[in-house]
Amino acid sequence: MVDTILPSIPRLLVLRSLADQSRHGYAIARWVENASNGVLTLKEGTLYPLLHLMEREGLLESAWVKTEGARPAKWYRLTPKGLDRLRTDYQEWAERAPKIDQILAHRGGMPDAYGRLV
Amino acid sequence: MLTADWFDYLEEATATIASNQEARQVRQELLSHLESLAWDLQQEGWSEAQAPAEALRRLGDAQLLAQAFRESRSNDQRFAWGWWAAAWTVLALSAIGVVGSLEFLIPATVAVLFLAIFYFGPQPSWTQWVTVIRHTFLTHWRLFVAGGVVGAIWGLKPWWPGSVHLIPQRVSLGALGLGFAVTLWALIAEWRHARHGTGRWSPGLSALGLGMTASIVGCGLGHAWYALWPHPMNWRLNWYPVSWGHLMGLVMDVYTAIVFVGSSIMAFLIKLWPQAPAVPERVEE
Repeated sequence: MVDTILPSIPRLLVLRSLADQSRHGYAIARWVENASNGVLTLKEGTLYPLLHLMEREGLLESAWVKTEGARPAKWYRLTPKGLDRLRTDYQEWAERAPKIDQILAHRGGMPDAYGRLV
Repeated sequence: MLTADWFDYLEEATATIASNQEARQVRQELLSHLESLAWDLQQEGWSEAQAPAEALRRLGDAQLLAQAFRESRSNDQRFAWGWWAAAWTVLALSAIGVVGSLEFLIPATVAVLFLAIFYFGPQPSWTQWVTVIRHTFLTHWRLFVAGGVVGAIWGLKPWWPGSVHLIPQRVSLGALGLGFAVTLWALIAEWRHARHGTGRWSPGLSALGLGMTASIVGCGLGHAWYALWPHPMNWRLNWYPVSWGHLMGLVMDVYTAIVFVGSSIMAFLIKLWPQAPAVPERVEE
């Protein structure tokens, strides 16, 4: 299946963001932004529905935590299933992404303004 | 840092979530996100007044967020049912209103309606109900003003010649039954939403209440006119034996009075009700 050849990027980023420590939604979004030097932004419209979906799938678990002086926040962490999924998805990504890049770069890469491959 | 805009946003963003509890949790989660973002923005130099609005802008379109929540549950049949239930219930209300045009069926149809809404099957969240109500009635408020005017004209039907008597009679009774049911439905949904949602009453509720009240007052005036100035084409007595006619007439008058007084009080209370956004409760896992 070509349309499932790569793991979902937002899902992979969320899994990776939680690999080393638990975070709340805002921290996940900022982590992705900072780790990519501002190139990648995980839009909140994507992030929260995805977090809830992944939680239903058993990849994440959550708990409401109240830190001093702040509103309670919902913190997420990986479940063992989520950790397995991160490993699997990352492995697929590492194997397939270079192949995709190879395909896109075939015969010189992107066409020029006249549609010619240079 | 809470602002009224945030609450409108949170309600809209969670309108597609069927579970009240889940919707409340998501609202709290998004609120926490907004606060963190606004605080960071202030550290970046945004003023205290501008940071909340900018945080809201960066969070994105509430409708897109709501759509994403819906699509993330697209395989969940219960959710799909719950989302459409609100819209289908509006259609069901219309059908029941038609059936309810028979005077003696009005109490039964109202009872069936509320059983259907509150006890049968999976339920849409109160936020969903309220969103449907607000979108339906606020978007088409002119329609409801016009409905009130038409209702008043129906109420004065004894003026009309006997040849057109039966049809407006049924339409007016249908409007009364439907108006009564919808008004109660909206009031209860708003009340429950205020308790379990973000704690805010809808400004549109007063418009709805007043629109319905206008319609019912019109019919009430017609009843009063008729009581003062009896007409040989007495529409009640044409249908029922005299005693039943009087009884039904009494029921209708009491019913009209309850709805009229109730709607007026509700509209008044809503006007006075504190509109400051309430802080969502702490959600215990």
